[in-house]
Amino acid sequence: MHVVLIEDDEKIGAFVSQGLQQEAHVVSWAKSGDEGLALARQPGVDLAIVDVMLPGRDGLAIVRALREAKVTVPVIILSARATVEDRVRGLDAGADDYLTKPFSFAELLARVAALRRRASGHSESPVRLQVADLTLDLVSRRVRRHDRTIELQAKEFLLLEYLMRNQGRVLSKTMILQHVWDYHFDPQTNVVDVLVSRLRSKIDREFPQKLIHTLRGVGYVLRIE
Amino acid sequence: MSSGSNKPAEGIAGRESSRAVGPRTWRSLGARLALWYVLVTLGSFLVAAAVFAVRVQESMQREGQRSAESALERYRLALENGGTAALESMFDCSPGPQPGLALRLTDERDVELFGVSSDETSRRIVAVPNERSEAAGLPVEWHVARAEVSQRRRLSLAVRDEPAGRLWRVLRETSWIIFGLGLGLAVLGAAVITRRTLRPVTDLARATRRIVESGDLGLRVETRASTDELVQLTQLFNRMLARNESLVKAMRESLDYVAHDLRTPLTRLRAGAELALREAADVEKERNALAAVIEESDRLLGMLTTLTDIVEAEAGAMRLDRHAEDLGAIVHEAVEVYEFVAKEAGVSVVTHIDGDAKVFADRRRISQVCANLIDNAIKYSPAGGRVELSVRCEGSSAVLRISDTGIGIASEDQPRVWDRLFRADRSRGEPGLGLGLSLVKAVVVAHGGEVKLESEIGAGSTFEVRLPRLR
Repeated sequence: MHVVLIEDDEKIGAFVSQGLQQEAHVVSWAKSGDEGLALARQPGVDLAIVDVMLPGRDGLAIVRALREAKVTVPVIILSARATVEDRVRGLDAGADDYLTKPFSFAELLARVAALRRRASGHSESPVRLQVADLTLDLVSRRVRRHDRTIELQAKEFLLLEYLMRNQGRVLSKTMILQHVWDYHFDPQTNVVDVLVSRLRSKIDREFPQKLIHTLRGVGYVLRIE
Repeated sequence: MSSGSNKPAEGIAGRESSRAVGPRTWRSLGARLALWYVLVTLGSFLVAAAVFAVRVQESMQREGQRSAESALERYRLALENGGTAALESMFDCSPGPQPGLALRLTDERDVELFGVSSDETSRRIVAVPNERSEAAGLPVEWHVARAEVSQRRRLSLAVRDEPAGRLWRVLRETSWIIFGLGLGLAVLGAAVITRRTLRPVTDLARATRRIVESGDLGLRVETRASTDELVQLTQLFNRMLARNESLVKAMRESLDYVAHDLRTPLTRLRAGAELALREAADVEKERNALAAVIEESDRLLGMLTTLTDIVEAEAGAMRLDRHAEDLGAIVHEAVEVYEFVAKEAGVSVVTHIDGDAKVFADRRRISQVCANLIDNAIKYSPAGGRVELSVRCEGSSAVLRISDTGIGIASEDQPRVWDRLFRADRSRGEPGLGLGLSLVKAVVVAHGGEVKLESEIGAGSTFEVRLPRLR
């Protein structure tokens, strides 16, 4: 995937661009608004990640200019401003997603993946999810590991489904809070850790192969190691 | 203008615009008000005096003319009967108290046939031929009468009405005295009135200047009890000052808080990173240290966000996305979030929700309030404890109560639990706890509601959130 990154801060830019390159994306990094706009308008660009505060043209102006020129490339806005109004202003300008600084790279990756799924049109809705010997049936809402049926409560099921759909991708606490409880703020407690540890005790405890992993300070991931 | 009326002008603009050049006094409100006052007063005096003078003059003229005409009639009869000799003898024995009488007899071509006069002025006046020019130039005490006599001759008489002239002079002098006195009074009145009227404004300007110069936000403008608009202005100004002062104070406290409480986690963060650098040989240790750094900085970030929220809410600057919401549903959701946390802690959570508690609120913010309170209640309940939530409608309020069976809060600490810097038991080291409750209070107050706490040591606490109910 060809990603245009428009970010004037050296550290953040290097952090994002290196991370995306490690995920096998092609990154073009522009450090000013005008340069970035020119890059983002080129054909073949799959995604633009745009900082709001930029020298020259600011991020919102770039998004507006792109949309006026009928360029439909998906855009993620990065901003240090966290209020709802700022978010709304960004989305109103035509951005597809909005990420507040400081952010975890895992979260950025997850959002990039979500946008790619949306852009490619197929929001894959399989009937059954499978990772190793763990299966989750979305229709009968039954979870099995190896040959054993596992009883999950609604929230546990939601979390497992979310982890399995994002297999191999790290999900931050914020993302889990949003997905499982629709809470768009951090209640500053361990609700996510508690839910994950409950799920883990049901999915992993009695099996030698562990699937749910904690990346301290970043989030959780379900993958085969 | 008197110096008195200039003073308020100086008070307002004088010192302030001392750098400006030009006659700034005239541009000041006080000076202009005083000037207008004087002009209007004098203008009305002049109009009154003019009307009075015209009326008096008209009446004097009429009276004088009548007596002049009757005198002329007597001379005319004497002339017709006894000729100019009779006229002259009659003139000589006319007992005028003062000289001021002239007679003149002319033919049709205005050639003088006979003339007699008591003095030069009267002779000149009686000789002026045209009546119109007489009217124009004649002093008020002089009257001229003319009559046709036989043989196409014309008899003219000029007479001076001395008492009327004196009266007129007295009137004129009196007018000037009144005018002078009036001018003085007007200037004085203008000075007093502008001063009194503008006193709240000058006070305001002086106080503002003092505040600007000294930076002391505790200063206030002197006010008097009155419903006067300007006094109201100063009272409003004072209220604004008080508000600003409390806002700035809150900001300073927040800053204190940041300096005070963020320093510890920052130090921990730094220490962790430093340790990892020193023991870099062990990759696993390094990873752990880095993870700890991230966790610590996330916690810091959370505190900062909460702090900004509190400051915004307390300053009335928190933008609330308010809609009609069901308080019961919000509470129910929050309880659901904490379901597993409570189970883990061995605390049972019971909710009683009255179905009709509609509030006009920002759902996200009120969720945060509920989450904070529930979190608190669970944290402070021992294993086997019980947290009870109830949502009820009481009159015009929707009331949420959260009771726990925790350790309770000492009565002397109770009013302070909402304070930002307060933490009842510092050794407990629950970071952000004090912040949580101040956020609760700030958000509830921003919604027009109130918070309350009842607690007893050993028996537990009940937190109450009261929001205006939507009907």
